[in-house]
Amino acid sequence: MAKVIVITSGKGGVGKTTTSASFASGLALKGFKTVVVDFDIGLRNLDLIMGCERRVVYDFVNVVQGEATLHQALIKDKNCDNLYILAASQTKDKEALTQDGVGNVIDELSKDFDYIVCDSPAGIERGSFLALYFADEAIVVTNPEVSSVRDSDRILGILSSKSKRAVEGKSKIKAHLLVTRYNPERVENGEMLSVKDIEDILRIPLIGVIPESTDVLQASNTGVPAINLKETIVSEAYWDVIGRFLGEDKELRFVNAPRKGFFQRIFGGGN
Amino acid sequence: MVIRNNVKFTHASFEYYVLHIGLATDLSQVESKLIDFIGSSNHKENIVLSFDDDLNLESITKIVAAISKITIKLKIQLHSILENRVIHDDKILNFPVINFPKSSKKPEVLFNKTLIINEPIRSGMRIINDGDIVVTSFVSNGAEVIATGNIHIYGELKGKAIAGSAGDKSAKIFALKFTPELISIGGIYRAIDTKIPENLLNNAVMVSLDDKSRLSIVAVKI
Repeated sequence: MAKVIVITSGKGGVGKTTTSASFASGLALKGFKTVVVDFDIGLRNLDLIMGCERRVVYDFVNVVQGEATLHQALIKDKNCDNLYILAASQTKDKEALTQDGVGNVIDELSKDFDYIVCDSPAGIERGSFLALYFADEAIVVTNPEVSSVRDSDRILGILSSKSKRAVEGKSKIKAHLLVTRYNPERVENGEMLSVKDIEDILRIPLIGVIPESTDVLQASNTGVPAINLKETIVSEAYWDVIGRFLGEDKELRFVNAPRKGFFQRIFGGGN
Repeated sequence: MVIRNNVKFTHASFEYYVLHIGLATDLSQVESKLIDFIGSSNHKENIVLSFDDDLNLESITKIVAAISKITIKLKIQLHSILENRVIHDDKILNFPVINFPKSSKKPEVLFNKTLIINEPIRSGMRIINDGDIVVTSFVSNGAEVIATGNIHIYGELKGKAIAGSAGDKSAKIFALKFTPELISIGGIYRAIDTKIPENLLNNAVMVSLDDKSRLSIVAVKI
């Protein structure tokens, strides 16, 4: 039986799709059979980040509406045999998804996969509701700024009251906090919320901190999940997240600004 | 003619004027009532409709359609509809429906005892109880706790707390840590947009109404 993980946030542009791609790739590279599902119907992006946009023939909506089989719609990742992508439709809108239809797809995927990663759209409407409804665990992606934290709080409320587990009175969805686009220097200057501030407001366990980096943009543009960019801090940070998710004990990294060296302090370079 | 006097009730940081409509309401009189209202108020956008329970949803929809035509003609805006029989956040003819216990009647679901909540009240959640509410966790910004009785928060109150929501002026609000957006007792409310004084920040806090119906916030010494 597969574990369903939703990557959600409420707010847009915080890194849900980047995280979905990297998280799913990481699990797959660790040997788990993983599928990542794009719930952002009408604004499909995941296939771009995964670099498979030209291979989308049938999509999630086609499967939900019975126009294609799951087998036809699943796209195998080019780098990893364990990873499959179920792309969203670019032409339909979010109303095309039904609760029963999505439930059937999740049930069918559960037979073949270890992990089902659901990439939620922004907002709290139908698309994001259906993305989180079937979840067993949630990764709440939050940027270190107040509006993002507020929206994450809202999503946590919905997870604990409207998800399938909540409605059926089962054990709660396990929610993890992932802070992305974290810039330790700006935190030290008081321009950004610190990890501790965010933890204080949301009070859920932290699964990782992804530092702000230009590598992420480059990864998106070239269609490579950020976790696969060798020797970058973003990739390292995502591997730490995977490790912690699988129960390893990893020390938190990339949360402190690098100490400036003696010469940098004197000559003011290094920014 | 069953249009009652406009009931004014306060909720969040806005004032809404409720127009209550019964079975025998003559719609032409609604128009004159609204014209009176425009003359007397500057809150032109906060009109709320509420209906007697003996009106069924079909006739309510018809009345809403008729009144929305009148409001368009008078260039005022219908804000929302108070109706406990329709699901919250649903719409009647595109007007949002709000579930809010009518102060004149008891709400349909009665707990009439203390409601204890052991999990965080997060942004966007709204807890309503006819009786007291005890929260053993925190109340986030953007969350609302509404009780006809007292409210006790054994954590940080960052959202809105509305005690004595049916008019009980002796209701009180208690919080171990007090940084709310809004507090209200018996319909008297205050939006807190200034800094909380130091002595209140580091103590448990009690909010009550004094004999002149002013909100008083005091530190509780333990």
